[in-house]
Parts: sequence; structure tokens; C-alpha cells
Amino acid sequence: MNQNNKIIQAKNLIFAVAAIIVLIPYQNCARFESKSMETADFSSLSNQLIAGETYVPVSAPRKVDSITTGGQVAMSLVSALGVNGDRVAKVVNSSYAESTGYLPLILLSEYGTYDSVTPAHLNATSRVAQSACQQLVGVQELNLLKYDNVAKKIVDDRRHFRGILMGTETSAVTLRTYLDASQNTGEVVSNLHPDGAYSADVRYINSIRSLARALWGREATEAEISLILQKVKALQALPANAANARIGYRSAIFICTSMASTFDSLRR
Amino acid sequence: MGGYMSHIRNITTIAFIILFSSLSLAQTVRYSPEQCKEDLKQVLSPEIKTARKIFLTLTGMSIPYCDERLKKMERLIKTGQPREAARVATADPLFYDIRVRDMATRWCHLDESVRNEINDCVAMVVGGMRDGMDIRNILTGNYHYEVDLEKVKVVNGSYPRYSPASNDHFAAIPRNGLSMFYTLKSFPYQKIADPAIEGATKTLEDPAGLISSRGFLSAHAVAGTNRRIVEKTFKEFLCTPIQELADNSLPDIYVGRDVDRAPAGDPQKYNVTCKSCHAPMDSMRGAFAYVDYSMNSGSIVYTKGTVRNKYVRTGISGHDTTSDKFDNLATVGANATRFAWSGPTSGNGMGQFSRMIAGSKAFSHCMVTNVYKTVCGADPAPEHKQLIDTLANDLDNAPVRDLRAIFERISLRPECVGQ
Repeated sequence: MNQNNKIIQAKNLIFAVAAIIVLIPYQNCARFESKSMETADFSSLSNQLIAGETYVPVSAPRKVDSITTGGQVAMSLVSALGVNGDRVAKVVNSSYAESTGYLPLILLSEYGTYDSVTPAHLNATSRVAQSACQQLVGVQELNLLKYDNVAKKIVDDRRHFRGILMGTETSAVTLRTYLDASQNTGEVVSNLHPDGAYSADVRYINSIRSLARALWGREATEAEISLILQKVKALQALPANAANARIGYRSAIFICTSMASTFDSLRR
Repeated sequence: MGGYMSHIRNITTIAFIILFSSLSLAQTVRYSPEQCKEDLKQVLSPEIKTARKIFLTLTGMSIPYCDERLKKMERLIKTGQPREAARVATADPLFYDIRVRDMATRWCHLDESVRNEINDCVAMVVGGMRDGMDIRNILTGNYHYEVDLEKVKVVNGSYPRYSPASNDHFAAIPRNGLSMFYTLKSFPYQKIADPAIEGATKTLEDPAGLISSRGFLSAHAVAGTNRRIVEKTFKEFLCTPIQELADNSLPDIYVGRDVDRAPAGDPQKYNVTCKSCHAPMDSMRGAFAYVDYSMNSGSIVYTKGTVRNKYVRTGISGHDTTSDKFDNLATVGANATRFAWSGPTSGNGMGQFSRMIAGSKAFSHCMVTNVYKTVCGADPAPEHKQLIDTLANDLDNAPVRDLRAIFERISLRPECVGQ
């Protein structure tokens, strides 16, 4: 029993360290608001009053970013990602660590503010993100890419990972044949998938762009796309053995978790 | 044979009806995120980005641009109706389940942290706000909220029943993934455990809104001397910590016998330090003379006409509490303008005490400050005084003091969301 506990503790430690090492470089993603975040002028919006309300001139505009509890972050992630049904409660209630308590009640920054996040909070945050992405990729989106034998068409109802083979789809070989434009070109192939024929890179880029809008509220920059894609390609270059099977699945989990763990995804 | 088949058909139909109504009921007790697909070819307009920012500010939640709520808000902003756009967010379950809950959780727990469980006190705020209640009712109302068991039985058949002697009923809300917006149901009267009959409940004779809720009193009336109830009421609902309430010029006629008049043998210390806080605080703690919280039973104890033992001390001279009378001394000097009391400042019991608090101008001011803190993630800066004062005045002058209007106005202010 003790031996088992030690093994579990060791695994947790390895995961914690690995999560920080993998995710810290991506904290520079989405760190600063770009021009694509431009919004309407709040000064004019705040002056539109209704009966009985008094005008107040604007003084000392400011925005304080906050990050509060694991529960709120988890809810926000499932909301942005579109994790649905019973899976919402699974993500929100997923236990971070028995020793630190019930996830929804854990603060994910020292003082509840954006600039008081420590590496320990980052680790907790990546666990929340991992849990949400696990539900999104591994449960919800996984089987939404199919080949319809009757209509002779590919049906793709995924929200974020359209056209990405995750390894367990039925008729995976057929799907791969028709999805990858590098193997098949021409009009017939284009007609098979709702989005037409397009390369694996484009599929990943579209996933990153879709997640950037949902999680960050803005378009991903070229530099951000390139950085994430670089890591995805590194995953795909791993030797094809049993341990590295389901590269598409692992890539999707990586994209989702790394983007969901960034500050722009977390701050309020 | 035909009759038998017809019977089978009827049973099957009834089974389907039960199944589908159960499924649709399950959808109305939990938050269900939008399942739309982002159109990457669509250029994001400044108005839809503004809509997302307002929604995020008011709910604390990110939603995708393809979500119908954002599209509706975008249309309203484009047609010059930003308040209507903000109202889309304040009508959303997430606003109540996240932002309003966070604000209430700070009021209802000892450590004022959002990291605490939902309790009856939090549910009273969330339910009341959802139902459009005048915010003064959180201190003056005689009501409570429970989870509607009819709605949640499809999710969890063994959901803990409401009890004034336990918090299990409310703690189970997040654990079952339930939304308070969908499941809370209002009931008249506040309840406490009936000590005469095990497992029975009775109506609380001196209700005082949140102040007489199990959550608030379990945090502040447990053990001690009931002074903390006064201290926390001033802190949470008048935004006045005890250091600011302190007034050395007040007479110590109500300071209890348990306060040493010469701590460490130094009467000067009592006169300069101790009396400043105890004079105003002790003048009001009489309101809670019949109230206690029992750790053993897990319930509020109320003994009308009998002062609780925690008030009774012998020995050194000082004020003896003999009833639930209170006489607010924080009505002169700096405190007179600070609180701007508008009704009686003396009376009997928790109910009259809490009506005094809710009737002051400081209460509206504090509610606006709390909204700012909840939505904007920080206390207002000194430069924001005019904003807070004006919003508080507008709240005071509104026919129904609905705090949601303040949430909406603050979510549109550059002082909160930036330029």
C-alpha cells in the first residue's frame, strides 16, 4: 500500500514538474493585448443613461485583472471550450490534490490578482486546463468525425479540432485518405469533407485560431501559431511506436491545454 | 390481443414522456455551455469584442464569439443600447452563479473569502437578486431559499434535504453541478431547529435577513460575546471596519462587565484604546442578547426573553445586558455624517437593528462599493469617489433598489474595464 502511494506521489511530482516545464514557455503567448482586441469606446457607452440616472464624468480609467478560484477558472474553460452536459461537473469537481483541498475552492493566485500567480498556481491551473481539455478532446469531440458510408461523405461536427485524426475514429484509414490533401488532390476529395481538402497544417492552424477566439477573445498572432505548431510537429516527429500512438489526439490535447493555461485565458 | 398491445403502447408512451421530461428537466438545473462553431472567416467587429468584454466582466466567464448571447449584445451595442446589452449578461445564469455568489460569499463567511461553500446566507442573496428584490430586503426580509427538490431529483435522487441544523443541502449544489439560478426556490419565514422536538423546525421569532441566517450566525455568533455580529455587520454592510467605527469621545455606558477597565493595570489604556471600539459596538450588541449558535446542534438558538449566558458576567463594574434593547451611539460626530441614519437608531432585537442598518445611506454606498469590488476585482480608487457616490445616490432614489442596475452601469465604466 505504501509502495503504491509512493508510486502515485512520484507520478504526481513528475507530472507537476513536467507541466510547468512544458507550459511556462507558452505563458508569453497571449500575454499582451494586441490591436485585434480593440473594442468600442467605453466612455461613450457609459454615458448612455436611463431615466433617474445621473451622469458621472470618467476619471482614472483602469483595468485590474483578477484570477480567483479553481471553480471559476474551470467554469470559464468549459464555457469557452463548450464542454457540455455531465462533463461540466466532472471538470469543475475534478480534484487537484487531496492535500490541498477541493478544487472549486482553491485560489489560483496569491491575492486573487493576475500578477500574483506563482508556479504552484500555474501547476494547479494547468491541471484544471488539462481536465477541461481531456473532456473536450477525449470525450466530446473524439467521435464527431466520421465517414458516412451511405452518403459517401465525411461528417465533421467538431467545434475546434475539425479534420484532425485522433486515432480511434471508425474507418480511420478511409478518413486519412480523404482528409489529407497531400495524399489525395482534386475535386472529388474536396467534396468529401465539409471544409474541402486541406493539409494537416491547416487543420491544426484552424484549431489554434478557433481556440484563440474562444479562450483569449482575439485572433492568434502568426508568432503564436508558429510557436504552437512547432511543438505539434515535434510531437508528430516522434518514432511511431505504441507509446507514441494517437499523435493527433496528443497534439490536440497539447494545443488545448497549452492555450487554456495562458494568462489571457485565465484573467478576468 | 389488441387490448394487450394497446396497453403496451400506452406504457411505452408514458415511459418516453417520463424519460424526455426528465432529460429536459436535467437541462434546467445545470449550466449548459453553447455548442456553436466559430466561423473563422468572420471578421470580429469592435462591438462584438466589446460585448465579450462586458459579458466577461459581469459573469467572470468566457464564451465564444459564435454564442447567440454575444451576437445579441453586439446588435444592441451597434444600435446604441449598451445598457440593454449589459442586461443580457445580468439575465444570464452565470451572472448569479459566479459574480453574485462571489459577492455574497464574502459577506457570509468569517474570512470574507470567495473560497467558501455556498450556504443559506449566500442562497438568500443569489435567489433574491434573481427575483429582482430590493437590496434592502437582504437585511430586512423574513424569507429563505431552498433547492427545489422536484427539480434536482432527476440528477440526484438522494439530494440532502434542507435543514436549519446543517449546511449539506447547500454544499451539495456545486458538487452536483447545479445552478443556483435554476434551482433555488423562495420560501417565507426563516427557520431554526426546534430544541423541543428532535429533527423538527420552527419559525425564527426575530428575523433579520442575512444577519439571522444560519450561515452568518454560525460564523459570527458561535462562542464569543456576540460582538462580532455587530462588528461584521458594520464591515460587510456599511463598509466600516471597527477601526473606523471607533470613537473615543463616546460614553462607555454600554460597555459590558467583561471588558477590563485597566488592562495590565493601566486604566489609561482602556480609556484611550479599548473604549473607542467597545463604546459604539457594545451599545448595539444588546440586539443579539437572545441569540446564539450551538455547535452541538448545528443550529441557531433563540431564547426570547432570556439573555444568553455569554452576556452574563460578574465582578468588575460595567453594563449588564438584561434585554435585547440596543441604543446606537454611532450617531454623533464623524459617525453622524458617515452613516447618515434615516430611521430609529435604538430599538429591540435583530430585526430592528438590521432595519436600522439597511435604512442608512452608508448601506447603499457600501452595496455599490461591493459591486465595484466584485466586478472590477479591486477596491475603488480614491479618484472613483464621485462615481461611487453618484451611483449610491441613484440607487437610493430608485423606486426599487435593484442592485443589478449598478452591476450593469459599472460594467460599462472605463474606471472598471479600462479605455
